[in-house]
Amino acid sequence: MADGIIFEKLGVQAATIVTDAFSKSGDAMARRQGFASYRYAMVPHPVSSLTPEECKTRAREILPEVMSILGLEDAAQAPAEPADAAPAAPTNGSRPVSVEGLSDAELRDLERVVEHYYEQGWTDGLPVVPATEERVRDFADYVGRDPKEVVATLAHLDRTCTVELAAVAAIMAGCRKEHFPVVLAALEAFNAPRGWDTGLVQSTTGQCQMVIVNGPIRERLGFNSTGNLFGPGFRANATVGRALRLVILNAFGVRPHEFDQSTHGTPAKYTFCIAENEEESPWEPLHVERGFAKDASVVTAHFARSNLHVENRRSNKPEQVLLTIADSMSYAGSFEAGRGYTVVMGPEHAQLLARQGWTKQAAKQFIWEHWGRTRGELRRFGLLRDDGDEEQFLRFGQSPDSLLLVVAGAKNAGLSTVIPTVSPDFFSQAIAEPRGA
Amino acid sequence: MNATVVNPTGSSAEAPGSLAPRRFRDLNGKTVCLLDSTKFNSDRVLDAIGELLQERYAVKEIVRERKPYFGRPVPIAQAQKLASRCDVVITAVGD
Repeated sequence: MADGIIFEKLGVQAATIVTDAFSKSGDAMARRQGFASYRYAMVPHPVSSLTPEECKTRAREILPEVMSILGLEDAAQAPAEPADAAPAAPTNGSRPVSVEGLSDAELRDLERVVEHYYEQGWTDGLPVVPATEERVRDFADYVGRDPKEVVATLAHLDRTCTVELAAVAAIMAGCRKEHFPVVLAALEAFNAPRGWDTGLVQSTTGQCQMVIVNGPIRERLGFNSTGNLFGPGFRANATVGRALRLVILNAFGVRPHEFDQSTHGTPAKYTFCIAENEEESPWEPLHVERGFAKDASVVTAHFARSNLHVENRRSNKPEQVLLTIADSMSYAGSFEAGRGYTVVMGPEHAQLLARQGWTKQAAKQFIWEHWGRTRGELRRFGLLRDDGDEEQFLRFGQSPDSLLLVVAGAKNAGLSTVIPTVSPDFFSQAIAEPRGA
Repeated sequence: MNATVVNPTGSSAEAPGSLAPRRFRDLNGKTVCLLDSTKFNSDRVLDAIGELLQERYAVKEIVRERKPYFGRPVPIAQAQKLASRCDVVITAVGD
């Protein structure tokens, strides 16, 4: 977008073609350049995976608009609007903004409380929100549960997390009480066999807790399921994921350099919560696949090791996209303890598959069949000692159910993400309706 | 007046433990359990230790055991069984 504007500023008439998935960021860029209503030619997204013939069709379709923007004589439409006035002076640097109803002295007090939490060793390294008794009661009342009720147990360390301790963690993480039922459901999900009882919260493998939210609560509480899926900017995602880590650090007492033996860990240990983009998924949502009603709100959680992008913007063949995903899941370093995966498929990849008749189950089956390495390769890495046919392809997963397939992210590029986990144990738990609402 | 915030930490009521009495000065005639954690190579290290002990002592028996999963403590039933059968246990932690 900036390019067209730069040419305009240089006195050269220009037209910019934008795929519709980028219209919002294009508008933002034009505003930044001082062109609040910059006109451009919009084509359907995506373009990168089109065949040469399809590209020609797109070009024919968009040509009249391009000519119109350029103000060419034989354009069907009127010439482009003149550009807006020059931008306002830049506003770099800090400017004081007043916080209504809060005194400077009170702000200093808040700083002291935040420092107190640091001094006690109760934070994840970031500032926390103070958890007062009143607010903890408010959270417990909201879910209508006894503050002393145990919601999660780490038996081998003789630790439990009560509703009260979960509320404290949620408040410290920045949750509103409306988020608390999601935090509780995620904590309870890991009570399933092969959850908390594995001791994987302490593992050298450094796993975090991935939480996937499905159902109507996503929209109600503002969980992000689209652009910047794993990134910052969304309170519901950020605080629910962070509450789990604060439970592990404080209620369970699993702290780094002590019980937490992670060699590297992952930045996702700060927080790791996404929602499925059910609206742009061509398939049934994850929670429906796992036996819940469509209108139920559900978390699906598991231990997760890392977060690896898979890019294929060029191909429009389902098999090629799926092979790119399966190959990315088959790197040597994941052989030893990467026997489960969550494939977070971008809507563009998922829709490309579905348009050509692929079901979710067929996609999972195909990925599973191509997820692995030959015995010879694994022997070359020193990861395998056994004898046998060097050419034999060894699958890393036990079955297609060693995979979760979730559709999420922005529909603006041919991207997916694969998330390995030590073992394919995925836990789903319904999010209870608040009783004290 | 002091403000109050709720302590976020859990606690466990673990009584201070004490070691078992050291009853022998050597392993002659003793049964030694080597408890493998299932971690890669833990079997090799423990086997080697067993061989070294057998060179030094007239060990009555080496009992090789594996716990089900390295990430958790040995199940109490397995521990009790080994405790009743063995004089000493050697186990290993790590990667």
